[in-house]
Amino acid sequence: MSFLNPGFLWAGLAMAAVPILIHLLFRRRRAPVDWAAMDLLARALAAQRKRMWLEQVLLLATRVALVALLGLALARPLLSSGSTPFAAKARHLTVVLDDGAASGVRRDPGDPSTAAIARLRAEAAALVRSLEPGDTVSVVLASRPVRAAVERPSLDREAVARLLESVETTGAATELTTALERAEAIAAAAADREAVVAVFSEFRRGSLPPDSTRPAVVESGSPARRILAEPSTLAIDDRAVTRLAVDRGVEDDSIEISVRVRRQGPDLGEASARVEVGSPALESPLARMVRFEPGQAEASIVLSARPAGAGAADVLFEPLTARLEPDALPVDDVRNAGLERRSSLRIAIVARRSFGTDADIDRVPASRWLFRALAPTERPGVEVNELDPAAIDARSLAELDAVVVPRPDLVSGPAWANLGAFVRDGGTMLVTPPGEEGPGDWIEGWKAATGDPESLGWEIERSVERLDQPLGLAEQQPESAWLTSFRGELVELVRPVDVERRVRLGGVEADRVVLRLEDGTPFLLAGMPAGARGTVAFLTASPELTWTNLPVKPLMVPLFQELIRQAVAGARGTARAMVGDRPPVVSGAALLVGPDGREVAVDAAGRATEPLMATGLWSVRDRDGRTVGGVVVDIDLAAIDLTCQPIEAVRDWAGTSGSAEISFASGARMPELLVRQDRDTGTARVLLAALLVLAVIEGVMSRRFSRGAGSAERGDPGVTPTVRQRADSGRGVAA
Amino acid sequence: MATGPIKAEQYLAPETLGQLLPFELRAKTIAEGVMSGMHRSPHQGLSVEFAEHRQYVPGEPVRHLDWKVFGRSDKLYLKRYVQETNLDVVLLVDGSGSMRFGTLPIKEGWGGTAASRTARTWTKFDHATAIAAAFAYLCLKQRDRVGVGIFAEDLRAQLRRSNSRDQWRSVVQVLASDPVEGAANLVKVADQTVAKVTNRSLIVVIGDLLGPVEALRESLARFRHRGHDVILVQTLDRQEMRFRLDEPAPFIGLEGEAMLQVDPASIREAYLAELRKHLDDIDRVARGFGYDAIRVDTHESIGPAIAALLARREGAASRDGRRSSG
Repeated sequence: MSFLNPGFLWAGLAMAAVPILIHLLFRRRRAPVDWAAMDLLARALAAQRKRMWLEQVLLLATRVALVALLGLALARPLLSSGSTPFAAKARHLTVVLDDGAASGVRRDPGDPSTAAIARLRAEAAALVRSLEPGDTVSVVLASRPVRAAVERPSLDREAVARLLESVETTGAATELTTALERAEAIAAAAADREAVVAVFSEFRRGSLPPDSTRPAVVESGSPARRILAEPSTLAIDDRAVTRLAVDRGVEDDSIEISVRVRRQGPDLGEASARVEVGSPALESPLARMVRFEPGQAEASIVLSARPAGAGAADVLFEPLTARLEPDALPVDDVRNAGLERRSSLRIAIVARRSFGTDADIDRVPASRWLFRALAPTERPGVEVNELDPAAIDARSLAELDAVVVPRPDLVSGPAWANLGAFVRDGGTMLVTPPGEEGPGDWIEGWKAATGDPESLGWEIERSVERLDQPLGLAEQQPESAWLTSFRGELVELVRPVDVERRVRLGGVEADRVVLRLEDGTPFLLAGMPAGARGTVAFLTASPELTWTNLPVKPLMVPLFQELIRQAVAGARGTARAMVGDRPPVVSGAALLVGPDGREVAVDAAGRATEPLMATGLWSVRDRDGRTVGGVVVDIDLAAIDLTCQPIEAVRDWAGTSGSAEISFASGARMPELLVRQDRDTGTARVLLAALLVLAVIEGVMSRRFSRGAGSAERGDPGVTPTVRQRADSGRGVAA
Repeated sequence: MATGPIKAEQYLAPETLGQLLPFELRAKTIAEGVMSGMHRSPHQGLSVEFAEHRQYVPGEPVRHLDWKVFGRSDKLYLKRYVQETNLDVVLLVDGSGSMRFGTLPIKEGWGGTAASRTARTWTKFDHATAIAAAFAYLCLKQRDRVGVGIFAEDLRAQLRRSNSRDQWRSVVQVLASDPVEGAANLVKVADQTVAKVTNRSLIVVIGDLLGPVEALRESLARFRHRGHDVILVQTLDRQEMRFRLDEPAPFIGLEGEAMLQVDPASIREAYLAELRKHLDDIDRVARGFGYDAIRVDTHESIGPAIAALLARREGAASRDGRRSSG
């Protein structure tokens, strides 16, 4: 038996001594009474002594029991199910365990046992072990992808507890909302049981971002009780590698690797961090100190390195890793990238050769803006050339990785056919509307090039829409994999961009939209046509200043660079993904092989059949086992925000769904909150009834045992004199 | 202890005297007296009042033959007379320690003893002495001789019987000056009394009578043997009769008994039952000897109890007189 409020138990037991003390103290301190009829008193006492002793003992015992029982009732004892007749319903406990990246945070960086996940899983296991026979348990792991580790209610509590004790952080983002909804659904399925959902998380921002949606209400049945671990209030210093990028290909004499380090926590004083960059593709590892000024949260460095000799012929990519010294959150101390063993990107911009300078910036054609965006410097790594529309043939396209078509109106029908074949073979094609408005005949050629219109489903309107007021880009952009590398800066980058003219599209699927305008219409789309290995992208506004100010905004360069790089990498096998993602891979790929050797199959839709959980470079293989690409998997930077959140914020998130009862408790008190409500109520009822009965008994005994006093109060005259005073006594009989 | 002269008026509240005056104290039995008075003498033939005739037995003195009856009927009858005598009254007041008990706060003008003035309560002894004074006053008023004795283990203070003019003051002095202590020994006191009172008298025993009933029986037997009439006046404090105490406390006897730890509330019924039994036994013993017994509450006036007693005795005497003359 345990107690919800053990303090009251001890207080009650201590108070039980009070009646005894009162009895003893009053017995000693009474003033003596002089009495004449001592013989009578002695005889009365002798006759009553045994009964009085028994009565006093009974009364004292009752009073002691009354006080002790009061303490016991206030202590709210929890009886085991076998000892109470009130165990009406068994419980079903659904444990939601936050195994996301933020749960890997350690109080002592050198001691893995101080990690939050170690505490959370131990508390969860203890809670499961505190269940009683007949109770069932399920487990939902909250990191992306949210999954039920134990979905069917299990009676084997020990096995589930051991499973919980074996859970490690995944490095993926935590999706507590999805996890809680999943847990509620599981709880709702166990309708014949008292459902309890226990959430074990530190509820840092990495686990529960402030903009998290609230869990949806489960309509069926009574809502499950929710028991949440108390949010952590421990601020922790942490550093993370947030960016690792290669600015030049490895075929050059040297490459430049940029690394960005971000720090968080209460201590933002002057500091430095050692960064190591290593790869089999480099002659030797690199090391550099990153310095932070007081208050500075982010710092970047650029390292120059010489590539090693050519690797194996079938190796297209080598892993590149930037590493910090281990700190409180080891998972974000490493960042990965793929180092391509190939020549620079070869991109052609389909345009007629122009001569002379662009005197009027408003009349600079899209091709020129795109050229500047794709090759802003003379650095090798991206080779951009102009391709005359008349020269678009299979031979010229075979040399290219990507083709940009800013003037589709100049492309002939056969050229569209060649472009279609180019895409099917893995090429990337970016199309924009022609800057000079025309009848829109090119749309037919576009359709032919992109194959079956249904495969992409984009219906381009022939007419150009001139907007009365320029439209900006939406601040909330779709979660697209195309722009992953600068997603953190995307909000700032899209803000200054306006669009004055555009072509409208119909039949666009949401997952094809890379960027959208603030009215929700698509601005940039990308997708793979059915049966093609390559990517088709479409910008709804020509990148000319008469259409949009995009060419002169900071978004221009990273947008097209990243789009083309991602598209080419995707087509040729390189891509970036977050831990827990099921990223799309090149067509024809059949298998993904992780850095730890784990193999994940590719489904018919070209996606991994299961989430990629290991960080690092995943090799993409075709059916013949040849490497056709790679996927770099890294942690989600949003998932490592260790900022603590107030309990009110967590309650607001968890408590507004339905009428579910919300409780917060430290891990040690969780089992107490898990008490079956009916049993608790039943125990309380029994104790209350016992208290009442005992109180009545005490009252009756007290009154009965003190019946002399009671009769005196009622006016019992006792013994009366022989002669009572009479009114007429003065007129008695005379002698 | 005497602390100074006590005025007789202090013993009897005006209402007490007022309630007593209409009655005359008469002995139930015929008492011997040396003075003619209102009491019937046991010495028939010596008085002037004819009582009855009885047949002459040869050999008897002929002085009281009724010759008139002989002349009319030729039969010899002797004339018998009842002589009215004065009454000797002996007031025995219990001065043992138990008589110090009292719970009625003293009121101005009540008089009292050293014990009551110290405790500021009207003790049983105060009540007993007031009753004794009332009896003495009444008796002296009808010229009966009154003697007083204060007793505990034995007779401590005594006042010889007298009906002189100063007797009342002497009675008061004796009642007021005696200490109240020790244990009562009625048997011994009875022995001492009958040794000193040789003529048949009315003995009024005033006390709480809380001692053994057997001792009371023995003492009354001694009085009976000597032909004395006895009136038992039992004075009890109201608290003794009602026992309205609630808080447990140690009880200490006033006659040196061992201390008792008592929860009054829990033994009240038992105590009252014991008290009733004790009082019933006293009544039964008194009835057995043909004596009167009354019980007075120290919280109530003396008069009604004494008036009721006298009325009862007056009625009984009248019935006896009618039977004698018939």
